[in-house]
Amino acid sequence: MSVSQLINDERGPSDYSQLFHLTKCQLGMNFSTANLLDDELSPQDKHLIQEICEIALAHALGNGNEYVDYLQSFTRMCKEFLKEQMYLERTGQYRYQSAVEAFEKTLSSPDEAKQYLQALLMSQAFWRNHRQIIYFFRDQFLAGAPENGRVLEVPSGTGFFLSDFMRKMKHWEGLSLDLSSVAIEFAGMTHALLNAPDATFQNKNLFDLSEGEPFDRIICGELIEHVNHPDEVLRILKQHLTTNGQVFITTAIWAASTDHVYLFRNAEDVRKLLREEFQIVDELVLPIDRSVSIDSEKNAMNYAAILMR
Amino acid sequence: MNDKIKNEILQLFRSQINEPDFEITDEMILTDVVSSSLKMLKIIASIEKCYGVTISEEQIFELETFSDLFAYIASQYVEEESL
Repeated sequence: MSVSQLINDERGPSDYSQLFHLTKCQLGMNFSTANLLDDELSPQDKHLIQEICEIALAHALGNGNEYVDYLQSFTRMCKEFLKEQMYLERTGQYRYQSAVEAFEKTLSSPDEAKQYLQALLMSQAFWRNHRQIIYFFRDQFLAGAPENGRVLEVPSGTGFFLSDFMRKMKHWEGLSLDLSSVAIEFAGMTHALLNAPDATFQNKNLFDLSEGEPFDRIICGELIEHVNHPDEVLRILKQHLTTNGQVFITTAIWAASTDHVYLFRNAEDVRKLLREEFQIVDELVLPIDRSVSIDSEKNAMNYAAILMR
Repeated sequence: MNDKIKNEILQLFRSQINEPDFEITDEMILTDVVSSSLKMLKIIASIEKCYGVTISEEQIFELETFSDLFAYIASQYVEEESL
């Protein structure tokens, strides 16, 4: 039975572990995703993967064929990653040097943006490092938050982080910003699917956010590698943060994507930039290839940190 | 392909997997020796740089054994030389 047959069966997927199993089989058919689930998965991993598969299935309105589109978008993104990473290894730079050019060449159409978000959502389940970042977010950032406050997520991306935050911190006021209207719609839907308390979703540039009441928490996932001047992003985030507020930030080091333009060669490059505006309270450095050192350079890594003024 | 180039390529593999004495035979599967696709990309980029050949991203993961890799490089290398 295929994933789409399972879901399209009029009885529906009564057993979600079967959905996980079939999803794994589907990903196993392509070289770029075949090894992603080779590791021993912890019960926590299995739970998160299942949760995200269920969110994707809900986004697909329970339609099996559309759910398979999510997997195909993810497979395409993984193939694209290897292609772009090869370009990076060959040339020592990302393909595009300008954020505007990268956006126009890769994500300017609504279809491309939608596929990108579908892939990003699935990556949160199937890329080990993305799972580790979610655990870090939950254990170190979310767990220390007070009962009330204001939280900003920029960019919205899939909406998973803000929704995850607000469904646990039910008395918080949330605002989500993204330049892409497709992302705003996607994030709003994730929020609703996770039954998170109401938040505001705005198709707006962070730099156009008016100076109002500052935020106690800011979530900034995978933004600074997409812009030409990440220092300016950090400066504006600091302006919108309360005195005792915290920022959760993630980025990619020497990890290519068609829309990555700012190249960090090692973790120290990231730290140096972050320390221009913030103190690093905690951090997580995750090489994609676990045999390389976190202090090495020119190795693909994910980076996450919690920052304060 | 001459033995010198073959040995140099094997050295690139050994160095990436941090096993300088690792015994590699022609029939060994590439991904059994280098399980990380990222490491494989680094090795291929080094091979391209050293020998002026190009191995497409699609081709990288279609080459199964060391013998396949050597044959592919040799075919490209000869073409380059004959230009």
